Amino acid sequence: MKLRAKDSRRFIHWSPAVWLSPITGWMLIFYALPVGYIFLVSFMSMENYRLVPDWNWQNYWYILSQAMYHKAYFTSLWLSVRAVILTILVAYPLSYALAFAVPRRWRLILLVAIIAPFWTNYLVRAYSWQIILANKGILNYFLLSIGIIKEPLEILYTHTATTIGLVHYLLAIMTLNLYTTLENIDKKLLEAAQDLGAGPWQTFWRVTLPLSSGGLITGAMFIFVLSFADYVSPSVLGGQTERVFPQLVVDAVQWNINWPLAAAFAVIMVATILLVLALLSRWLTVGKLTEGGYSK
Amino acid sequence: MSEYVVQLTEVVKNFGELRAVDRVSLNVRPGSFLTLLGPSGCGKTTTLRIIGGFESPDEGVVLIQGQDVTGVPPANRNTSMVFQDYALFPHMTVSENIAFGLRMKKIPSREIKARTEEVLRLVNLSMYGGRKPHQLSGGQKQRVALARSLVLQPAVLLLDEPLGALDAQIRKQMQYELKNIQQQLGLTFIYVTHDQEESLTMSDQIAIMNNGRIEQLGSPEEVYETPATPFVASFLGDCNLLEGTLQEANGNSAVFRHPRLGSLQGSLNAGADCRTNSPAVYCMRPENISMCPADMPEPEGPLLSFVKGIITQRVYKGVVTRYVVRSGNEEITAETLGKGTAAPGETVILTWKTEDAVILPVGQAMQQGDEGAEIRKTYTGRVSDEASGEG
Repeated sequence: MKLRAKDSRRFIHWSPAVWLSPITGWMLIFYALPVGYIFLVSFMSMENYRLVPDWNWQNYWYILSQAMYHKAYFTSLWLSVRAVILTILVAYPLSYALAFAVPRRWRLILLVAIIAPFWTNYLVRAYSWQIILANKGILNYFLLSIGIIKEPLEILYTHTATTIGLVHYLLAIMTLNLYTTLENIDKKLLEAAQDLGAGPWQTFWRVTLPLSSGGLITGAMFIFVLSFADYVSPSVLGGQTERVFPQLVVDAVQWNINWPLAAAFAVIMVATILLVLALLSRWLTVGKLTEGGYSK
Repeated sequence: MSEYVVQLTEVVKNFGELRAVDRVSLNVRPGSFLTLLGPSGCGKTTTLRIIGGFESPDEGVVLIQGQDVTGVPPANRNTSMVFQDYALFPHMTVSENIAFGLRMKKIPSREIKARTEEVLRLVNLSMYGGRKPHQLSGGQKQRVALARSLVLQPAVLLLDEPLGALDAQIRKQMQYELKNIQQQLGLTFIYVTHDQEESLTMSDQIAIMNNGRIEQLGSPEEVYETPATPFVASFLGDCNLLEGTLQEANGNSAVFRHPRLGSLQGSLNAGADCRTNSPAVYCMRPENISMCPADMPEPEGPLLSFVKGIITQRVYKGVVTRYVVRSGNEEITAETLGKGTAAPGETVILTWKTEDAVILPVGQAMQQGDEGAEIRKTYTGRVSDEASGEG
């Protein structure tokens, strides 16, 4: 009872509804309503620059019938999957080293070094990559001058450049996710595995990796969502030849002035993302169990 | 095969400037229950981790079953550790946790299954094989951790404060269970704890550690009844410590001189430094002191010591009543069985058998310089704290 009296003085006692109302209002007005509106618009058509609410599936049928759109869809999907795989391959060893090998006083410096690029505008970074990756750019100049290649590499305006830009952009997110999960693994568990006869690799496969699956999967979710919906890297670095889905949305709005078609593209993207998140979260339950289970 | 299952010789471990383990030597016989007891930071856990191979000593040698394992990783030692917070793998079931070590040893899966089930029966968890650790109570987790180590049939089981996270009730029960399993299977346990009662009830041998060193090694009776140092006397149970000098020594008995209380008889440990007039500490346990009103005839006899004093405090503790008696400039604690009737302010006579009091010469420790002074501080601190606390 005494404790209660103290608590009531220390905290503001409003119902949770009051605390949650700003975010709820914000999400309703600026997220739920527009998304709902886009969903509705995707079933309309456009006549003389006006929306006609004639409720039909024609936009979707149209997208399904065009081979160009299929190609763009799978290009986007493949780019995102590739970004997820590559960020994991780069970020996992880095996070592992940060959590287990790097002395504590160096960790902060390294973490800041990883996060610092994040403070630079993404668009500015993409243009910087242009300078580096161009046919007469820094990379080609360097490789030509030391004689590794005879002809300049064509990287810029291919999706190799897109991937480089995306991975660089998203690396910090994956690293932070993985580092926090790995850092939270009780070192006693690794000692226990060792004590029970497991070598370093067995300890990694059977204990460290399963226990870091939570961070791995949430990281993968972030990377997939952000790269599937990304417009900057494909446009600035990937060029215009192999179009991706977000570019189609922009095309439909800016060039065709066809909002319903753009809305249909958007709905397909949202649906894809939801599907992938649902698939990934099935694995997440494993990670969740491990985290929840560890607390005493 | 050696007579001892674990042998440490002059083991030293430093952490930077700090000497965590200071020339520790230890021989453990197979089938015995050895406890490393001491306050936090005394080096007991580090010693255990050195035996397990989690730390490598800076100096000294570790033998397990007669083989030099100094520098051998934990995976290749015939030891198994039960960790303080159990360290169960949270993503595996109870059975998978227990089978982990056997799997690492590439034992056929049929045998793994049989041995896992057998050890689950041993710790009374047959029905729990399919559960995840977070679905278990603290006591059950503890038993799984024990089973995970037992199943490997190690030469030595290392236990690092295994009951530390349990509440008092389950703790008591687990103490008996652990002891039972150890005796039934004839296993060697090396057990780390800071709980003196736990160490007394469970161990065959207790090594009391302080400042990285073993201050005394012996059976529970030996370390409790004939403490080798003032630190041991005050760490194990309660003990009145009076400072003075050694007046006279005759074999295993001696006379101690206190500046205010005069001469007191006591016993002397075998091999104690018996130079007269050197500093010494007089130790007597509260439960060995009996108390009677001052108007009674003064007790007589060569085997009794007594002092007069005034009761300053009375604390009823159920089984015993605890009195603090001021005599000279000292506060002496005495316990009487049951509900004592004496009240603060009364003058009383405290009597004890001379054989129950131990005189500990501390001259040797003093000569070692700074370290000796530190040990002195740890035990004299106690007496002066009590004296000043009364105010």
